[in-house]
Amino acid sequence: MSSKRHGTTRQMSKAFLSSPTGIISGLILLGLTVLVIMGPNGFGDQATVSDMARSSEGPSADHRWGTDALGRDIFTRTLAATRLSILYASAAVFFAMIVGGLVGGLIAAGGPRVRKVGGAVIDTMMGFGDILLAVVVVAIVGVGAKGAVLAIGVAFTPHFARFTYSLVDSVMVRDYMSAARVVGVSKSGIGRRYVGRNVADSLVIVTFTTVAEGIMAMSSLSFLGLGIQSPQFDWGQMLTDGVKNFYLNPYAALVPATLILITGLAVNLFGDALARAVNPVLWSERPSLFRSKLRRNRAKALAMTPEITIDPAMETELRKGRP
Amino acid sequence: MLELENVEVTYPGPPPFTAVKGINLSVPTGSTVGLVGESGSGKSSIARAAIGLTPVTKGRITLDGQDVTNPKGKSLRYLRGRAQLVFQDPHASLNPRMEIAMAVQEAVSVATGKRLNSRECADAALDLLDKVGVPKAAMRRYPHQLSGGQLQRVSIARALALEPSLMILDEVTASLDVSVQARILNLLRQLQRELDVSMLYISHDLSVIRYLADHVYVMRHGEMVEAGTADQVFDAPQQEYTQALLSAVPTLGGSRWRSRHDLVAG
Ligand SMILES: Nc1ncnc2c1ncn2[C@@H]1O[C@H](COP(=O)(O)OP(=O)(O)O)[C@@H](O)[C@H]1O
Ligand SMILES: [Mg+2]
Repeated sequence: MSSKRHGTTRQMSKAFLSSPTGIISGLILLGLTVLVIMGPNGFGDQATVSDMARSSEGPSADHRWGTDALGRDIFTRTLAATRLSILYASAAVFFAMIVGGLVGGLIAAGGPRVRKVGGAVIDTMMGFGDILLAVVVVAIVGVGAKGAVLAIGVAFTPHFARFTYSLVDSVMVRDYMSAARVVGVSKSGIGRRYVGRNVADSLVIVTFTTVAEGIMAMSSLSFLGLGIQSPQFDWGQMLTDGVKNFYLNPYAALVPATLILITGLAVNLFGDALARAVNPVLWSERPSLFRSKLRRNRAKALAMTPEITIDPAMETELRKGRP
Repeated sequence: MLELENVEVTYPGPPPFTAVKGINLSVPTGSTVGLVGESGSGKSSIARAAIGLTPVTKGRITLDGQDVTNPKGKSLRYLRGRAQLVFQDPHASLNPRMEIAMAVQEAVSVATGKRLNSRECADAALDLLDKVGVPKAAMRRYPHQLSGGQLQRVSIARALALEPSLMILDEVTASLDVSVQARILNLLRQLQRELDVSMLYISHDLSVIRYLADHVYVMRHGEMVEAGTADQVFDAPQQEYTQALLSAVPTLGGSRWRSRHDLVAG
């Protein structure tokens, strides 16, 4: 058992390291992680102390991307904002994934009445739209970082619930589920080894992808003045401020926007590579220098087990109504 | 041992559809019964109803005298302890995220309850896989890395892990090419001889049924149109439909009508 796990882990890391996108996105995330660890204080005064004499300047020798409306160095401030931007968005998405995943899984496992009522509740919540839902939560919890995280978390929860629900449903009708029941596998065994393993990688991809959307959603709240409050700052807040002074120094908006973009791309690619790595169907038979053969194996594997790909309709469903 | 009396299966729809229209079927202890019929005639519905996967809307199913119609709780445990089903599509009926040895080991541990530790279950699983002819090198693989024939052997091993007295085989060779098909059929013949297991063998292929079965039932549009011993049905079919099936049949490995006693290893 333990030796088996070991082999599986090794195959997983091999699969991960054999994908260039996995390595590149991994390196970017590593860099971002360093920035997260450094935090706002790691960048000294430049990021936080204002200098009204040099407000909204364009690029210069000592401020490579210029300054913001309060004369702070854009580039340094953007790097310093990494921690809160990523941590708050991740926390919100993680909350949505756990709560939504549980709720969706429970609804899928429930009887016809649970499914009907649960489905209706999810649809109603989604009908409000994420931002409206988030604003309602902020109104209840209060303005500020904590309120914003909870608000985005709640707003994303029905999407994860719906996604998990459809995912579990699509797995439940497979022959191997009937086969497991005929063999007499226990309910918990079916939950963990059959449902769990077969929905995990799709959930992983979507969770990573959603972190990028979480950053955007936090920005939207900042834009409405309901997000992070100064003296705290994140990319969303910088972006909003930067847009206001776009004609004085466009970089005040472009630099944080670029960081949002890079982070979004990296989490997407990383999630994709991770999902490939945890999915045995996508492991190549042997480390191959012949890429065409590798691709053929993958294509073959995909053709044989269609459930491992995310249903594009489902993904669209999940993205629907996002800011 | 297995008795179906006037069994009806209606899918709720909408619209409701009656796939099995009050059929009678019996699998005597120790025998192999063949069930033939064209695709869509209701064969799988019977198999799934008999194993408790699809609800029966009328009639009664008994196993060794015990009522197992729409089994729950105790009767479900009774049924699952004695009857197993092997599915048609080998690629779909094994968990893609589970090594095949684990799939069998899991069944062994279900069958033995808490009596064996996981080491012993694993050993028993490897023995079973060995017995059905899965090569050692394949045992730590995942389903997509095996061929259809090997996977069907795995499914058979998993069913055997529960030491069933009845095995229902639903078109288990339909998706395999002819030479692999012949090897799987030989494996089943060997199991018939070595184990004390009754079989309900479902197929749309009459030559396969003839090779394995003592009794034959012929189905069409959810109704039983003919029943009898293999020789009766094959040599003197009463119904036009059966005659048509017989004349349309492809052959298994060459010459046409070999009885179940003279086909040599494929
Ligand atoms: N879950 C279901 N719901 C509705 N109709 C079904 C369902 N399963 C099978 N059927 C229908 O019942 C009929 C018999 O199907 P089946 O038992 O699978 O036949 P066979 O195995 O002989 O091909 C078919 O017409 C099929 O479309
Ligand atoms: Mg069928």
